Amino acid sequence: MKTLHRLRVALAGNPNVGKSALFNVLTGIYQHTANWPGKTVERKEGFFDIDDIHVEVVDLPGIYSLTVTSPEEEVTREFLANEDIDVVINVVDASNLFRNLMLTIQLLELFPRVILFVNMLDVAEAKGVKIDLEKLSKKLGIPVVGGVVVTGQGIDELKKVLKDVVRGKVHFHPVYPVYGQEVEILEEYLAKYGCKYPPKFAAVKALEGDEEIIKLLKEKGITIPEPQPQAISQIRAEWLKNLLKDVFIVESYEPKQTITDKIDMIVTHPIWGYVVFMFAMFLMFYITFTFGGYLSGLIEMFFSWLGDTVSTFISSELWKSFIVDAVIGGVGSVLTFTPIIFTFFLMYSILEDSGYIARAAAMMDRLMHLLGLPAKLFFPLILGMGCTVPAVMGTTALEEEERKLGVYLVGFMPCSARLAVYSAIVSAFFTGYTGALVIVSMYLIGFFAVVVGAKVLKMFGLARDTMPLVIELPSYHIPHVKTVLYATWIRTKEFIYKAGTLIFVATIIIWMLVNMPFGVKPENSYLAILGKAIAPLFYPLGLADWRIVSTLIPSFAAKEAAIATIGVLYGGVQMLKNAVTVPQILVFLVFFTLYTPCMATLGAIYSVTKRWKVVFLSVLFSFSVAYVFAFIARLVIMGV
Amino acid sequence: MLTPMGVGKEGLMNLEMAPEGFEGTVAYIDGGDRVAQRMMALGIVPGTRIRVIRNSAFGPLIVDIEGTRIALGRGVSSKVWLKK
Ligand SMILES: Nc1nc2c(ncn2[C@@H]2O[C@H](COP(=O)(O)OP(=O)(O)OP(=O)(O)O)[C@@H](O)[C@H]2O)c(=O)[nH]1
Ligand SMILES: [Mg+2]
Repeated sequence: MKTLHRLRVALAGNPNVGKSALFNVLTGIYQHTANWPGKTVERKEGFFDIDDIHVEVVDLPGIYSLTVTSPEEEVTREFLANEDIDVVINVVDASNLFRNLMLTIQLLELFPRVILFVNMLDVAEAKGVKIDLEKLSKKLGIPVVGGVVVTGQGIDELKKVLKDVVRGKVHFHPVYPVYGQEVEILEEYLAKYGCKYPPKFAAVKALEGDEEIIKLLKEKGITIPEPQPQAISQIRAEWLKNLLKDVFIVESYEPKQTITDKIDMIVTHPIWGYVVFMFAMFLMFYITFTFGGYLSGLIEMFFSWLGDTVSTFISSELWKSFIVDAVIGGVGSVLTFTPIIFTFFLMYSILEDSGYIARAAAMMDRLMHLLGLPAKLFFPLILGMGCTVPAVMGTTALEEEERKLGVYLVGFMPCSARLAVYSAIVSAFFTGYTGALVIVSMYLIGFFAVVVGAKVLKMFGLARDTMPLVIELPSYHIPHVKTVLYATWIRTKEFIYKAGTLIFVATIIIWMLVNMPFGVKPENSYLAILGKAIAPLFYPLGLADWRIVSTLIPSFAAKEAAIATIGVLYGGVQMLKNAVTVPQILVFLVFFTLYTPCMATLGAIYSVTKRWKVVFLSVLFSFSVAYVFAFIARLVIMGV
Repeated sequence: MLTPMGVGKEGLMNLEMAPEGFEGTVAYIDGGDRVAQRMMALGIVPGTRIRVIRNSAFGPLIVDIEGTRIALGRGVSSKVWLKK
């Protein structure tokens, strides 16, 4: 069949209402789709045919309002204002109609050709809510289709409406709230003089205090009355409530207690909620480091076998060391990390899709608020105790300002590589409880650095005060296998591509530093030369031995490299205590804990922020914090 | 026409202090900044009915607005004023 007509459609609406689900049903699941990475959010395009109509669909990120307070809102607004589209399908959640329609009103002001798709009729029914869709359509002046995307209900009717749009059989005569004189005067004025946005939309948003629009109008020399966002919202809400009066067909006056309500009785309970939280954290950690750790072990075994096998085929000592230690070791350390990261993201995605993460953030809010940290940063911090790379990646789940704070801070949490170094060094200096106490102190110092670091970052304007927690608690549902695996894969892929290459390159550089110029003793290698050069920087910390300072260089590439370097430079970790005193090693450990986690972390920071400036600043920041903390430790332990 | 209801704070209940089970109407939100914008976008708009689901010494603060559950941080909840 020949396609004769083209139709460009955008899917818009609140978060979590089923836009992407509808997108997948319309276009065929994950077919004909591609990811366009936007600034911080992605929009997805696809297409499908209805008879002789070729329909292009764009899936937009979910938003709560068309006033710009987040990147998602900006993307959607820009898209609707600038791109050439024929019609918007506004997907709304039937069980939550009032809040969803607050956005619909704004959408109509920006773009009048809107089809309302009232989704999740099944959820609404479970809540005891019935909606008169025909009446709603008449009152709003736009086509309304009801359905349940997951069962396919309503899809055919939606397609029929799209067909009618092409045939010119559908009319859009949206009805708008009356906001009063001030809006109307501004609207008339804008209609005369023109604006990038429709006059009504721009006038309403200006009075709602939208910064971009106010700036736009001010540049044109238009005077705007004092914004009154609450009054505008109130008018909109009251208008809507009035409109909805006889749209709801009330079946039972008693609101039914849903499964979500029942689960939340425990999960958000002031006591049991924390028990559930601790248990969820424990489980996530446990599975990540047992199952993921088990797979890691297998991969590690494979690479050490590969190294041994390959080395029997190479006669040159130098090449043998290069191939086995640098190349195979480098690839190995990337792939060894992968299962841990994959498993963690799998656990996280399951919790996320079930609806639990929003509750956990709510539970942690009070504690985190006291510490001056955003509630949602809790998860990356927990993860950081395993590996800093997924911790940094985990900050993508946060909002922009919080993410900024997160990428600078998560590195202070001691990761498992650091734990391995602590154990090796501590065993050389301390016995029994003292050793354990030293290790625990490092974790406490790490967490303390997070709290202090947040204050410092805000003081220097590197991060703004974060948006306080205001989140919707979605209904629980059983995690969707495809959604979870897709989210997990996207996140793991980032690690392998971005961080992976960096770990690999770093391993090769370290190998060269330790082994070149070829054939010299360790104390004459480039590493030693470099170490001696930076050693004076550490005199104020009471670290006099250039060798202990040198170990910081390879551990900049990967923390666990410290053990091997100490082995090379001192001839064994146990020999360390002949050259370094107990106070010195404690100061060293403080510095070692806090300074730049590793190259892979920097790769992850770049991957999350896409800005080298942040990467550079984070090195500078963690180095400074490490230095100050180590200096204080020196004053406390060794005296002035 | 553009004056929000209940600007004066006499007789109003602060959300942070509102006991569990409290039912009322949102009267006013302090400040016109991004946080207030965000709260209004989620439905906490002057004139709407609100019910406090959770608010105790330890746990989170959760409210119900027209059938939607919203969790609020401690800091922001004190900006919301309620009427009986
Ligand atoms: N019960 C029920 N669940 C649905 C229905 N439609 C979608 N869902 C589920 O609702 C959840 C959210 O759907 P998504 O398609 O991811 O929502 P979205 O609007 O794209 O969300 P954002 O991308 O965050 O804006 C998914 O778990 C869907 O499986 C429906 O009609 N009934
Ligand atoms: Mg989506």
